[in-house]
Amino acid sequence: MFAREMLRLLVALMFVSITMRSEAAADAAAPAMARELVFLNWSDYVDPELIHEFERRNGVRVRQVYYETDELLTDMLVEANGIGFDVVVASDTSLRALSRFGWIEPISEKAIPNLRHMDPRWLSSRVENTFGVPYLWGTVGIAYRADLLQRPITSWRQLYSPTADLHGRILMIQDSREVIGMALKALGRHADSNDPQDIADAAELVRAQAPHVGAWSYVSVNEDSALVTGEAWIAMIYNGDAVTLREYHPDIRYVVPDEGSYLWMDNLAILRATKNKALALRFIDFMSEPANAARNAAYLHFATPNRSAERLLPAEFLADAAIYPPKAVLERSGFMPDRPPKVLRMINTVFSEVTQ
Amino acid sequence: MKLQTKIISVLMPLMIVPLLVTGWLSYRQMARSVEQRTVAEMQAKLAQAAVEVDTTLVTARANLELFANASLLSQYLLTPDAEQRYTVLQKPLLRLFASYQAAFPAYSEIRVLLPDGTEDVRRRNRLDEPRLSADLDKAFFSALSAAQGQHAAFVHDEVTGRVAFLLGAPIRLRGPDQDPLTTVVPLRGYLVIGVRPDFMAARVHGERIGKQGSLFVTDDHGHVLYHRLDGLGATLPAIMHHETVGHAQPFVAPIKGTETILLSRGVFENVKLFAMLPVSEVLADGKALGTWAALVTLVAIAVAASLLFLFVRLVLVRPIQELSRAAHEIGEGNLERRILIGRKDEVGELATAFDDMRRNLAASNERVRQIAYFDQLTGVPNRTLFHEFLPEAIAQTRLRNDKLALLLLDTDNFKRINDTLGHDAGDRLLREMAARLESCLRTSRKRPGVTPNGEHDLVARLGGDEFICVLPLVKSRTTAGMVARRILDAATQPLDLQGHEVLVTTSIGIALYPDDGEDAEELIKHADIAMYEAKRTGKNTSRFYAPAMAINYAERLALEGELRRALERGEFRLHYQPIVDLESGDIAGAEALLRWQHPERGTIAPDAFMAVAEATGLIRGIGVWVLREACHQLKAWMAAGLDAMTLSVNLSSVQFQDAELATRVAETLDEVGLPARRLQVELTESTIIQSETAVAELLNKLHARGVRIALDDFGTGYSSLSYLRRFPIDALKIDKSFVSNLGDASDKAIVQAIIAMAESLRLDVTAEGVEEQGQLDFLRHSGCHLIQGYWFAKPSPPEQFLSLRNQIRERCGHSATRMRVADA
Repeated sequence: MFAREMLRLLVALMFVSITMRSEAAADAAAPAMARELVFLNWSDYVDPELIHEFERRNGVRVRQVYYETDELLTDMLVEANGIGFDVVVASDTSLRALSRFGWIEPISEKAIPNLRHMDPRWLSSRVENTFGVPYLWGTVGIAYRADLLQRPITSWRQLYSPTADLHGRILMIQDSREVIGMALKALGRHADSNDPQDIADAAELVRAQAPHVGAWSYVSVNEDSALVTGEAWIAMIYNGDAVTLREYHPDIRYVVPDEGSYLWMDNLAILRATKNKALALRFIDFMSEPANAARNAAYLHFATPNRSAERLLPAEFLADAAIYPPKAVLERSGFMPDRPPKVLRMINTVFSEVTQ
Repeated sequence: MKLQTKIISVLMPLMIVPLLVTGWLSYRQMARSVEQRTVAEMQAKLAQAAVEVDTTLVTARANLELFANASLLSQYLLTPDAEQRYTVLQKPLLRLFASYQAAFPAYSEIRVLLPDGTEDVRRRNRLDEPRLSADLDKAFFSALSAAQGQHAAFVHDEVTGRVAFLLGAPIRLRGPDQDPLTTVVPLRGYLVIGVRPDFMAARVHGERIGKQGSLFVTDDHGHVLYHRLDGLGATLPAIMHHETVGHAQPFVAPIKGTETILLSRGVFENVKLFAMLPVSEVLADGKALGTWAALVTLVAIAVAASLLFLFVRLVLVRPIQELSRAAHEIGEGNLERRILIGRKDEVGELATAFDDMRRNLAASNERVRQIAYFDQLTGVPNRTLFHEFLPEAIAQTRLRNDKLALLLLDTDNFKRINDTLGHDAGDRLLREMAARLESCLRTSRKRPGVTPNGEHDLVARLGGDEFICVLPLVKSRTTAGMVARRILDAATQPLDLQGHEVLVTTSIGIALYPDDGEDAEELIKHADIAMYEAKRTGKNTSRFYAPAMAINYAERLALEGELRRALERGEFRLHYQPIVDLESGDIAGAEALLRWQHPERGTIAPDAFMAVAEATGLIRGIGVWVLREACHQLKAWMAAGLDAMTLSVNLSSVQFQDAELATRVAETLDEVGLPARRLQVELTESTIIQSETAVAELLNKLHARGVRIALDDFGTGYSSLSYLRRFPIDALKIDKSFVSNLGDASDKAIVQAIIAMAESLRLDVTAEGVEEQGQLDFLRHSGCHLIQGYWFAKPSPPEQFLSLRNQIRERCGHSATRMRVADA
């Protein structure tokens, strides 16, 4: 634990020395055009120090607006018709859907100089559009309390068909695509299957699980988390958050079950309705600076798509299997597919009924 | 029949009949109201359910309109890109629907249909909510699409069992590129809400009518949708044909084989709500009500009857019984019985009046007794009480084997006192007499009004001045005599009447039981005889009855009547006994002596009737006759030559009670024309004693007129020489008892003393009853010149009187010779 704290301090000191220079230059170049940048983000999904640093450096205020899950992000934007936000964090799946509504402003490669630090592996997926800049990536898996559960978790079935002792102690992410996808995995089907029967079976599995679910709500990532207090014993979770929670309770384990998982990548994007585009671009570029990206990844315990940043991160961080899935896991996992409308309608209907 | 029974037998029906009628009427009323209430309850519950359906539908229609206009729904329907719809918009739309359903849980299904009827969005709030069968779904859609606006239907899917109100509304939206004025607004789809009629189920299960009654819901085919009655069956087609279904009028139909009251109401075009209640329950309610009413009525009757009985008993019967008992006792003479009822009503007033009556009766009884049994003047018992008392006392004395004395008293001189001093004085005298008598006896007068018993002496006034004493406890004749003596002593105590000192003397006759009589009547008679005997023999004395007296008594009674006739018929005669003057040898005077020439018994001497004449008062008439007759006779004799002659007439004490005596004498003298000096009246000492003052007054008047006064029978009575000085006495007549007894030395001395005294007082002295020569000689020798007696002549009728003169002269001569001889 001590070593981990020391590492964090070391990285932070390094970043400070690097950024000092460029900050002064940016201040001179950009006039104080905007005073507030609205950043639509998950909660606890950015290092607040970085936000402060950006505010200081640019003389603006960054106001974060939080959403609970990626799906609920679209709800917010639908309600607001895409207006009122400057920068948004969105998964590549959501970003594609949002861009269809014309709510996302395309970002040219020139506008983000730090884009060059990105691993081309991630940029390849960006080829289809030019809407987002990779932010963080990871897996979806299971966090559980090893001290409370009888057996370690190795399969999604243990989550979807829970033993009696787990009744009411399960937390599920309210995201139909991930829940149905993992249900397909739990059933031994292909996670990308669009076969109506598979979907129906998965829906039935979820429906059967529903009564045992304590809450369709993403676990909070702080020391009062239900997993820490023991109110919840098991939760569907994104890997980095599990790592963070592990620091609050040593018996919290993160696992990507044997069936594999969905990989996801979050992007920073600019909403078309923004009036602070320059500042937004500057913010994205700021966050993409290798030092900043490294600080952010280290802070949030998520893997960064920034190659230069990776080089700044300690080996221990890069070696953490929870943060950087082993190759075997990656082989069993894939990105979430875009499903046909009929299937989506089916999933929507079922999920709506199940999670009420 | 008793009063209590009567009152109760009249009042009970009066009370019971209205109670029964009231009970019956209230039972009828209550039974009717139970029925009415039952129907009203059924109607009310049906109405509530109907209102609930209406409210729900109205709300649902409003909400349908609201939901159909949601911007998210518009955006959704206006988004042609399926991927956009389902990736982004459908999820928030579903969440919006979910939020509606959270607010309206009855909206079990919210659907969006595309214009062709395809279901695009479906949000169920219950996982087990069944789908509608395709046929019904299609039927609803065709009805909805045919409708120009909202359409509502009640569906009952017999296949899936789904029951719902379906409400649909078309959604027409103009696209962003369409001209608002010219283009027809295209139909984008329909919003359909399925409302679960859970509230109907809840109401059916929650409501209860009576004990066994309930609600149920059917569709218009009679399919039972909701009920709480086990085994009601799925369909009830039978009742659906009933004419009144839906007309809110109760009817009776069999349900599960039971006659049931039913009431129905259509709550939607094809939904009917029924309320049912078994007929038997209403009847049972009525029966229970009837039992209850009967019980209450019976209890009321019982209570009222008890109260009535108590009331009648306490308020009427008991006081009347008390009054009746009291009246009975009063009737039996117990006037001491008080009547206390202590009430303020009429019965109380009656009791008070009754008690007043009792008291008045007791008081007047006492008063009557006082009047009846007591002498009002003196306060001592009267004749009546005496006559009641005496036999009783005799009876008790007989039981004790004792003696009883009866003392009959008569005041000797009461009549004269009454006449001279007036009635008030007489009354006072009687009162005084009564008091004195009582003081001498052991009477029971300490408690006035109490009837004397046999242990006390009794004084009673029989009338006039006659009193009688009963001494029930006399041991002997001597005791009675002592009491009599005591009475005499007490009676003769001087009494002051209006300034006059009066001396009262009484005569007492005593008779003893059983010596002198066995019964009251006999005793009284004998006491009376004894009393007259006492009077006859000198007054102011007492006499025991002796059988010999009885004869005199009888004679007296006869005499009394005959005396009256004698005076009227002129049977009285005057005989005259000459009084001879020894010195002249001639007749000096004569004493007129009354004789009764009785037609049958011959001549009767005054001794035989004088007492009776005095006692009856006849003496007055006789006295007047005597005086006048004597005066006429003397006048005649004077004319015949006896011109110096004096005539003596006797006056009895009774005559002296006549205050007019002097006047009467004077009138007679004037009438006859006789010098008063020729008339001499004779009176006895006892006459003087009886009333000295009155007698003195009369004597003075007579004397003043010139009439001579002679004291008769001198020396026998209470001779007091003081009389000779105090009264205007002219002559003394020596009693014949002295003369006949001149053989006795003491009597000679008395006669000589009288003669000497008379000489010294210058009174004439006449010796009476001289029958022998020796007597004559002694008297002449002693200085008594006036001689009366048989020696010279016995009393003779007046026609013979003059012839006596020679005889007398002869005798005088003879006697004078003897005297001379003796002298020589």
